[in-house]
Amino acid sequence: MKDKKKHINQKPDGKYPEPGVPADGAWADMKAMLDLQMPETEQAAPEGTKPSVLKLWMAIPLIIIGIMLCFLYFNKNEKANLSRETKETSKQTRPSLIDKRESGKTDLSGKYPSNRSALSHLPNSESSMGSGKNVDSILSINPEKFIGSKKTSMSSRAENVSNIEISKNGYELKRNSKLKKNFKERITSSPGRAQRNENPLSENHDNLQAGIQNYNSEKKSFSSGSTNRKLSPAGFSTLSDNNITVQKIEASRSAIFLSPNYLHIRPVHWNNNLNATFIKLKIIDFGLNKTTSPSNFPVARKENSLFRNFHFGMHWSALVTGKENDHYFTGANGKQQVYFPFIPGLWISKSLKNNGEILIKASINQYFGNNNRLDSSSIQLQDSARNRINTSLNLIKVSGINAGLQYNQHLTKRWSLGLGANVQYQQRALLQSTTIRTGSGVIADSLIGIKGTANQFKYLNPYFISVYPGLGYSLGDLKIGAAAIFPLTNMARDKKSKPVSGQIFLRWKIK
Amino acid sequence: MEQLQETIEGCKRNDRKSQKDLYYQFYPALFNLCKKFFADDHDIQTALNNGMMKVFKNISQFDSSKGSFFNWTYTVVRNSCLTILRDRKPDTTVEFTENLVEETLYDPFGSSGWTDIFISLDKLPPVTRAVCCLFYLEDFSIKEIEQEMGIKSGTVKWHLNESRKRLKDVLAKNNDR
Repeated sequence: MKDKKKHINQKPDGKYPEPGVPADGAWADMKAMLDLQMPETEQAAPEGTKPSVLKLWMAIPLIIIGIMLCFLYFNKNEKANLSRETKETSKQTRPSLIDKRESGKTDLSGKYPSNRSALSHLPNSESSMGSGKNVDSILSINPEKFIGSKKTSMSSRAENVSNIEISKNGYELKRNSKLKKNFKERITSSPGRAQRNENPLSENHDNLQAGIQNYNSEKKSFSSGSTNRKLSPAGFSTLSDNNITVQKIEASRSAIFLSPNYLHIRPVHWNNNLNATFIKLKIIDFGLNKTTSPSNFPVARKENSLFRNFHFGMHWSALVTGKENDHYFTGANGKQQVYFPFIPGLWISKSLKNNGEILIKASINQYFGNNNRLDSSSIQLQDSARNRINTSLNLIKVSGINAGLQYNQHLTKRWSLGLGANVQYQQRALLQSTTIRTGSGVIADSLIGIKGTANQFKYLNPYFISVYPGLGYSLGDLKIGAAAIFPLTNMARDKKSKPVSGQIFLRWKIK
Repeated sequence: MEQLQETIEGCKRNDRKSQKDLYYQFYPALFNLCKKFFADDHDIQTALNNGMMKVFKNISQFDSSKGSFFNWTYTVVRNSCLTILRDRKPDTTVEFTENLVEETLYDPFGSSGWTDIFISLDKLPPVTRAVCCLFYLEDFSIKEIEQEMGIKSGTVKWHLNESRKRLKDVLAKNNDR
């Protein structure tokens, strides 16, 4: 047992037989292994431009997130403003209007338009404002045309019409002393007008009321003298009785106050606040009826030119490759990353005319290198050819930030065809180092996960560009599809490496 | 000692020159260690380099209060050899059931030099060589060999018996010369 101890607890500087493999050759192999697995710090120092490029690429998803947040904020404020304006309008106008409509009284205050003749120049179809009417169609009604048509058919009205000056801009009634005089005579001679005279109306409103009465009297004389069928001022519909006309007008009063034309039939000193309120109401969709509450009017979106037709959401993509499926879930850091395909990306798009769509996306993505060889070396250990060791370094996959620009053309309601271009910034890579001894087969096989700062990254380009045609199918807010990715530039720096791969994607539209 | 300490610090910084100095300094002893387990030079180099790679990767974990740096490196490289041996499972396994207590007291190597030892070991099959080496040259117990090699104690005894048989003939021929 004593002799046995001499073979253990050896010293590094003891007398040992000459090694069968020279130290130089062994160190060459050792150095190759060190360069692969433990690159030197000095050599691995990042280039001066890399940090700025990295920051630039990191900024892309942040910019997209910022745009989305701005859009959400703007959209929220816009809806809130419209909702508030609508509520304010309903608070200001609705009670008085409804009260008067229910009581059957005429609004004599002049604050709210209630003259029937002012409405009567509109055809029934317009004044009732059935659903589907828009602002433009109503605004297209030329009031002068209506008045002019009456001029040609109502000779007895000539005197009064001449007293009412209709401005080119609308139905603004201007003060006319002669008109006022004529109307005062009519008002005082007419029964039941005392109340109006007692009402402290403004002079302008007196003129308006006088004009209204005058206009009604003209209609009566026209209907009694020429025909039993009473023509509406616009001549678009016929009514057998003036009362029917009045009833219809009353029935549609809930919509009258929204009429853009009506905004112009007002005294010169129109209430500025009310005027502003009515102007705001121009944006309201006129799909209302008599029973519609003003507070429940469907609000048309005031579309901002910057964010019009913009959409955004998240997307997931998974690569399909025919090779290296053994390492499908192995991350570029050398560890298992089953969750990687589930990391969502962001996209933002803008709809174009002709069913087109421009889409920008950003995500953390990975591409398979299909085991393309990046480097190889050979070490001769001894004179015998049997002792030659070949080491190779192959690319399995790369990962990094990906940004893409894509154009989608909707073929049908659900199917769309897309063509896009990607730029992939390569930040990590998974390599495979294989050492093969001649005649003995594989003696070492290892996976190496490297960062962009590692020495081995010298074999890879910092980024590469690819194009991808794809086909998508929409399911509501979801779109699923597939694409084929064709790299335009090489992944590797010195070697040709343009592996083609497939991609399955799922896109979710948030807005 | 100071020079070795500087080399270790350089290895911690992943300095290639320091790693090379350390490698060259320990290479004869570690090659000799690996040669106990493997007859083939390539196997020796693979085991040595794999072990040294572990040393370079984990050199920051070395604690000088627990022992010398060479012993730590020696142990790491030896474990690397055992790892390779474990991975090479023999096609057939045999188990020796006889009582070998008396037999194990005999050291076939005695006071032989390294050259004679390696000549003797080369006559042994790989697994028998490894078991014999661990038992007689590395002072492992049968239970430790059982654990390290992943084979049953009866099998360890069988390999030891086999090694003695063969080495007796070899050493006897050498002594006759």
